Amino acid sequence: MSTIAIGIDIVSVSRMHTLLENHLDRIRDTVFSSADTEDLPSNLSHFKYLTGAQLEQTCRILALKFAAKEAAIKVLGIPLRTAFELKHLAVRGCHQFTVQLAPPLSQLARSKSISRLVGSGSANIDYAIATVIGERND
Amino acid sequence: MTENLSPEKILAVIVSIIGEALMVDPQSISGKTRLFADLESESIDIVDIRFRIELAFGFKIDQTDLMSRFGSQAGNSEVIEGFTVDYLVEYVANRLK
Repeated sequence: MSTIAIGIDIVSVSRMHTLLENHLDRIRDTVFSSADTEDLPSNLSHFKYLTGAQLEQTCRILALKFAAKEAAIKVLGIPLRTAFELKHLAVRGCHQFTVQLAPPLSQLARSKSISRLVGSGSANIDYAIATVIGERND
Repeated sequence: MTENLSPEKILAVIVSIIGEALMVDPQSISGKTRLFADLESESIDIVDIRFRIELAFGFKIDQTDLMSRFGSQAGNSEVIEGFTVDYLVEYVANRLK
């Protein structure tokens, strides 16, 4: 495999927390798929009932996944005018992850010879950061 | 929110939404303000603003529809320059017709 491109992004954990508090249903519809949320401490539909360590961990993980999606978008070089939902990028895993693409993004990746998106992330109480590499089969 | 809102009222609501989402003084936001270039909006900010607009005006924003004015060949610099508060007002006004 060769590396074609790299992307990085950082997201405020408290910003993600506020977004989840205010727009949970919309976020579940358009931003995070079931694949994104499979490694959360509890089902995202229960977010409103989370407290303490579970709440903090959920916000950190989702901030990291959001950063991973944005980093992947940078790798793909998706023009700002492109219409897609963040749900079209599924981040599987957390600190080591892969990004799976749904159409139309999967076609875009193929057109750029990107066969795989992999990355790594980290989060603390304040920020989550993710780096993504686009790889090509040699 | 229902139809028949004037552009001025739509502008006032959107300015309020952007001010709250980005924690900036609404008085510093005008129709010509560019969300990316002037307010340095990040992706998570745009998501928040989008959802707040959907809630305020009672419709789901279609991304294809929202970006349609820019055309299929528009570069990022064109979007950064053109994605203004007035652009959002026009989009909302058209959706409310």
